This record gives sequence, C-alpha cells and structure tokens, in this order.
Amino acid sequence: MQMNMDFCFVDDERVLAVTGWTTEARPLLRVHVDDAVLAPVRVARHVRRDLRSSEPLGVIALFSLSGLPEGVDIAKATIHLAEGNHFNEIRNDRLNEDARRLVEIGVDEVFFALLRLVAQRHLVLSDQDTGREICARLRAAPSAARETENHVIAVDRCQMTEQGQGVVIGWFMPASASAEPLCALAVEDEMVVPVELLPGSMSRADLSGYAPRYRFTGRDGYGGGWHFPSRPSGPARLLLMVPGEHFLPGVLVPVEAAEPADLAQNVTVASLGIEDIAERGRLRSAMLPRALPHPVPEEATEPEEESGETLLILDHDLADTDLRDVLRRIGPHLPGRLRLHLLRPRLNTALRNGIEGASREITAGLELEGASLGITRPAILPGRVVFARSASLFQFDPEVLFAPDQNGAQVMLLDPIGTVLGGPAAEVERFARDLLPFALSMRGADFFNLLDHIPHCFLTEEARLRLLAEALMTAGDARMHRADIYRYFEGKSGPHCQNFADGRDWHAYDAESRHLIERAELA
Amino acid sequence: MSRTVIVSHSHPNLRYGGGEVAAYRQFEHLLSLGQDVFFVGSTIGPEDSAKFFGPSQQIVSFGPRDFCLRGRGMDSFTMEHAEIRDEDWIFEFLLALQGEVYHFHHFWNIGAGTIRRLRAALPDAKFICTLHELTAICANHGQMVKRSGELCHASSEVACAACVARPPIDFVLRKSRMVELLDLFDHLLSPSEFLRLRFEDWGVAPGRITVIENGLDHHGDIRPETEAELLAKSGRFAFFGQATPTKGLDVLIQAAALIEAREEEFDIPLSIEIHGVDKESFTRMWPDLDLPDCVHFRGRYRPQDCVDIMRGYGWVIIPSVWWENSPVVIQEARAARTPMIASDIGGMAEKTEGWGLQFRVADPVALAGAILSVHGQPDILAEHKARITPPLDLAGFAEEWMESCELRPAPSGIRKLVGA
Repeated sequence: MQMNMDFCFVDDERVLAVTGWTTEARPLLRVHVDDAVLAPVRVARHVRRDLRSSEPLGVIALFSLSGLPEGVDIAKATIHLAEGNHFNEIRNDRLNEDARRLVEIGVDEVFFALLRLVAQRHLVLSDQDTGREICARLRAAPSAARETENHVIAVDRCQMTEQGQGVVIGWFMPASASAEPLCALAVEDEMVVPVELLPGSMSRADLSGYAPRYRFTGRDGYGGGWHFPSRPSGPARLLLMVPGEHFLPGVLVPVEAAEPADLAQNVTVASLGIEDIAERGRLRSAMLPRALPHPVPEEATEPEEESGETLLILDHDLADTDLRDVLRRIGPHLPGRLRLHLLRPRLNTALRNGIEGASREITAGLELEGASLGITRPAILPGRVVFARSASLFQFDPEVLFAPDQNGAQVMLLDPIGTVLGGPAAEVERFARDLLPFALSMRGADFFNLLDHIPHCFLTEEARLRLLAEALMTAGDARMHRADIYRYFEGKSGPHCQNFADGRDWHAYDAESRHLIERAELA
Repeated sequence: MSRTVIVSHSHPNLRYGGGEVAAYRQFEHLLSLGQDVFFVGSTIGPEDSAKFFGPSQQIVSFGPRDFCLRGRGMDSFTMEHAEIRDEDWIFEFLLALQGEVYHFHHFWNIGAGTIRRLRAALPDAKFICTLHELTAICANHGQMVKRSGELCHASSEVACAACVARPPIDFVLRKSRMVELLDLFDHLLSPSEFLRLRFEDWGVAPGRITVIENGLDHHGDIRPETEAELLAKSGRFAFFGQATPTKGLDVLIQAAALIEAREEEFDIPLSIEIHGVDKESFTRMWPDLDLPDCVHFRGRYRPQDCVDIMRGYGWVIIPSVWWENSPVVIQEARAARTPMIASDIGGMAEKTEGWGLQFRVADPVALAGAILSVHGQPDILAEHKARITPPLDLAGFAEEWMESCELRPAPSGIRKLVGA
C-alpha cells in the first residue's frame, strides 16, 4: 500500500522530512528532486491511535538534501515522494510551512515523534515561530508518570542560568532494554533546544534496590546539558522523552533558576561521576555556544560620554580590606573622576569601607558605579574603561593604564616566558593558553561596542574581556605593554578564586569552557 | 609657640605597656616644662572600651590635655579602621588639635588612613614616629617569631605567607602600605639599634631612623652596699614581667628545675622570685611544668615600685624568647643598678652589653649555667654593678628628641585652651 503523506518540510540543516502512515512494515521510500533520487537517511515509526491500530503505522522519513547535485534549488525543483511505482508530488511551498502546520494540527503521536527526532538532533527546527508553536502545544500537554511498570525516571537537579545554560542530573531505569534512547528537550516560551543527554554515564550503585523490578546496571545515572541560543524570556521546562512512551510527550520537569557558579559547581560534581572523560566534555560543551565570535571594531555614532572620566572594572581578588589601597594607588594617575564597577555580587562592610576610605584620599573623585558580577553598559559612557584584577592593578605600573590623552587600546600583560624570549605572536598565544595576568585600557565607547559581540557564556567577565583583548592584540589594534616585574603574586580572594569540587577556580572553569568551544569549532 | 600632640596606641591609665608608658612619660615631662602638649591614647579594643565608654562616647578625658580615644579593635595586619566613620572621627579630632608636631608612638588603633589624611591636611606640621616594635615588618604580632616558634630573621612575602597562612600578595600590599606610612614621617625614632637595623634591612633608608632610648626618671643616689649585702644578694634572682609565652618564664622555671636537680648544697641559698605573675596564671599557661622549691611567686607590683623592688635582688633575669626591643625592665634594672642575665638576642643583647650576662636564647641549660656562674659570687656581682650606667632620664630624652627632630625648644607657657 502506498504511504499516505500528511506533512513534508525542510529543516534548518537541509533535511527533508516526510510524515504520514503506511501499513507496510518496511516501506521502500525515496524522494525524487528533479532528476536526483534520494534514499531516506532515517525512517522512524510510531503508533497512531487515530488509525485504530496498536501497530506502528506512523512514519517520519528523513532525506538529506546535502546529497543533491550542485545547482539544484529545492525551492523551485520538482519534488516527488516515491514508493515503488507510485509518485506523490510535493508542492514546494509546503516545505517552508508544513513544520508549523504539523506542530499546530498534527495528531499527538506525530507531534511527539517529531519532538523525539528534534531531541535526537536528527531534525533541527530553530526558527522562533516553530519554537513558539511547540511551546504553546506543550504548555497544555500532560506529563507522563515518572514511575510506571515500564520505567522509573528521577531528576535530582534540573537548573538553568539566566543566560540559558542548563543542566539536568538524574537517573533512569527501564523495565526492559530498548533500542530507543532516553532523550530530552529544553523548552521555554519561544525556543526549543535538544538536550545533550548522556544516559547510563554515571555510576549509581545506590539504585540496586530497584532491581529486579527495573534493569539495574550500576551506571543508571544520566546527565544532560543544553544552551539556548539567546537569553530565555521566561521560565523553562525540560521534556524527558522516555522510550516506549508514544501517547504522551514525556516527563515534564520545571527548570529551576540557578546562579552560574552554583550551576558550574553542580556540573563539576556531576562530571566527576562520569568515568568517560570525553563524555564529561560533551556535557560541558552542550551548555556552550558552538562558536565564539571575533569582535571587530566598528564605526559607532558618537555616544554621550564623559571624556575625562575613567570607569574601572575591577575584579578585586585581594582581601576586602585592601580595596582602599588598590584604589588609592591609582589616584594620582587619574585624569579625572574615577567610576568604579566592582565585580562582586554585592558590597560588604569592608568593601564599602574601602571605597569610602579611598574616596577621602583620591582628589580627582571616586564614585561607585555598581557592584555585580556582570558588566552593564552605563547610561553615560566614560571616556575610558580600564579592566584589571586588583592584584595586577597593584603590581603593574598604573601610569600607562590611566594616562590621559590615550587614543587606542592598551593591554598590559605579565608574560614570564616573554620576558626571556619576546615575540608578539607567541605572546598572544600564551595570553590565552596561560591565562596571563593582564590589564586592559581602552576608549569607553569602543569597549562596550566590542563587548556586546561576546556572548555571556562564561562565569567571569574576565573570560569575555580576555577574548576582547586577544582580538585587539591579534588585529594589532592594541598597544601591548609588558609588565616588567620580576616578582608577581596572584590574588586568591573574591568569588572568582573560589574552587569547585575538582579544585579549579572560576577562571580555570572558563578556560575549560573556551577550550571546549574552540575544539567544537575545529570539529 | 609650638604645639605638640603625642599620640599613642594605648593609654597607660588603662594598660601598662612599654610604648604607651614611654609616650606618657614624654607627655608629662614636656608638660612639666610648660610646653603646649597634648596626649591622645586609645583603648585597645571593644572590651576595654565597653568598660569605660558610654554607647555613643568617642573619647574620655583624663585632663584638659590628656585624652583616651575609644578603640574598636584594629586588625594589626591592615592597620586600618574597620569602619571609616571611626577613622573620620579620630582624624577630625587630631586635626582639631592643630599641632605643629605630631609624635606617634605606634600607629595601631590610630590607623594608617588617619595618619595619611592628617599628613595631607597638615603638610607643614612635623610628623614623628617612634618605632616600639616590629609590627610594620612582621604580621605575627610584630615579634618576628614564626608561628612554629623559631626566631625570624627577615621578612619576605613567601616566608610570611607560610608563617601567617595568608596569600603572598597580602604581604606585598601590607609592606607597600607600611613603607608608605613610614615615609610620611619627617623623623623616625627607635629606642634600640637592633630595631633600627631590622627596619633598615627591611627597606627603610639608612640614616632615616635615629636611635634615642626611652626616658626613665630615677633616683641618682643609691646607697653603697656592704659586702654582706652583696653576698646575700648574689643568691637572689628575680624575674619581672608577664605570663606570656614570649617572655620565656618557662625557660627560667626549667633552668631552676635543672639547678635543683643537681642537689647541691649552697652556702648562700638560691632563690628565684617571680614578679608580675601569680602561681595560678603560670600554671594555666604551663600546666605541665613542676615548680622547683627555689621559685617563689610574688604576684603583681606597681610599676612605680619596680626599681625599688629590683634593688633587693642581685640579678634580674630576662629570658624572653623573642627579640625584645628596648624593654623597660632593662632600664629599670639599670636604674636599680641591678645587673641582668639576659637572652643573647635582639634588644636584650644590645641593652645589657657590658653589664649583664647573656645566655643562649630559649636554652634552660645555658640559663642554669649562667645563674650558677654568678650564684654566691659577690665579687662578680659588684663588678657588674660597677659597670652599670644610669638610663637616660626624661630631661635627657627630651633634649635628644628636640635635637634629633630639629625642634626648637619651646618657650615656657601653655597656650590657653578654649573652655579649659
């Protein structure tokens, strides 16, 4: 019997999806695009209750259009779905519309099957309209039970940061083995993204009590990560799709909001439970963007700025009480008023005291712009922005960084190898590799314009600023100064120096994130 | 007319330590000369403050020119006030005194920030600082003794980090702050050569520090002693001090136990008497040490009685296991013309040179040997007594102070105080 075609569309990765039903157990489907013939790369079957059969009559067949000869324009080509001698024409306009239609009016089982293919990354539907439709349909959908005679699934942690990086940790035990994997989607109001799920990756000897009711392997823990391409506008939910569950979307779990550092700590702890190092990397990578931009200076309209003012973005990595001395030390070099943004979540008494004490001694004036771990663009831009950790600012020569009448950007860095064997190219490489201590000074407007291009995917703003400084250095847009000091000590205080469960601090965590993004880019 | 403000980290009316006593004696002496002088001390912490101050009270006056500030307790690592409003108050108070000369004895409880701001506000005033100990160099109570117990010979960021268990960068900042602070003073004074050398080794430019002993007024006429008195005194040894670990009282007790263990019969009985410490506080501090029979606790004494009490002994023992600087007990022993048996380090070695016996620091065997070498030896006692020169008196101190700090002797007559 010929396959009945319901929907056909092309996804973001040039995969043609055809959905429908057939009574054939193994339908020999193909797609003709003009003269080219494509065989399916995947055929997924599912039960459809509307056909009044418990057999998996439903079909979603996927055809990769990347195999088409060069020059074939899918929007204009003649397309047929073929099975034996039967040809069924596919109108080109459906290719762009049917995905939304399926989500809107497709029967539940087809919709759920589509979601599984998206969760397993066989289909990519990233446009916001479709995402919004999926979210709307799921909003009213009932959740499957966590424990049935066929499976038990638990969620220990399901958290996401404000920027849309999320992690789920839990365990799953089916009653019987299945070829179908456990998979998941992260869903918010306008976006749906697949979760990189690692079922059976974590040792959980404590679950042995569930045997023999469910299959106990000793490695029944799972971890998963995701990353929304832009900052979510509202709360998110996780849809865990359990193998064999065709009539419900899956187990819906609310996602808790988490601070980035708390999430990182949980990810670190979870990662330590994953024996396979490569899988640890997969978990972390899933929470990160696929690539990093290369910020390029652009011509900006002249913003409103206070030319004599300096905004100091300070990661105070010394004892809180030492803030006053760090600020006092730069006081004599300031061309005008100093505005301070302290990269701390909040001010405590010692920090407030330090700022107030310094303000009594800095004749140019000192004003606290804010205290938070993130950098925000001020309403009135300063003439110059300087970023540094306190330890560097205290041990580097402040005169260069705060000198008035600077035109371009200045990067001052401490490069112990470079002091012996110089060379700008190698210095740039070591800058990233060795996390060299640095300070950045540049025009306020340029600073914020460039920073806007760098995603908020790191724990520290320093990781973003390091990318910015590196881009400037690579492009020759920054003057480099080597801090010629034979003795340098790193600061060990403040939130960024706190260690996670694996002994690494926030900076090291960010370095690992960057390494994973770059590795994914190369792959 | 020149107004002098003497500022001390403590007030001797509340706490009797060497630095504050030296500061207060200087104040009293200048006052007796009719000079326009103020004294500003401080309580050292919230416990003391709570005893004497009302909840909102910032200052207590012991006289129209004698004040004690409310100390909230200052972290000697930072030497800064925990609350900027306390610094504001002290700064304003010191500024209001409008001194031409500000002489600081220590800067703890006063605050580095206070002094920096005062210096900036009064660029023409003369700022003097007497270094009474090594706090600027050493964050371990300024004693240059490592927490492991061994003596420390020089500070460095890494060594100090290992000792005090803070990151090395903290010591970079601390030293920078302390060097900057000392640079603010027109004159730095030290009561000992030892202290001067330590500061110069640390980074203060040679020649910046002038050594002037603390002044101590004393009776010049001491009745000559008979041979019988000398013989009796040659068996009498004494300790004056507190039951703190660095004063080395445990070393002395162990030395006494070693002597007693020899079971020698002495013609002249040997006794060691402990002043300033009672038996209970000693036992609390060193519960495992047995007390030999020759040791007797005499309890606390009035500071003004110290010289007279010392005169009753043949030898005063100072067994401190830290460097000491210029201990007042050495000056008092000189005033009493009583020779000393002292640890062979730092200010003790320097100040007892020529008229005292020295033994290897923290070594009870060496101390026992030193005691036995002079016990029952009136000739040796007389010989050492003869070598003692009297300590610098307050008039002598004031003279040296004015000369070293280039201060014109002020004409007599005190500037009338508003409301006084």
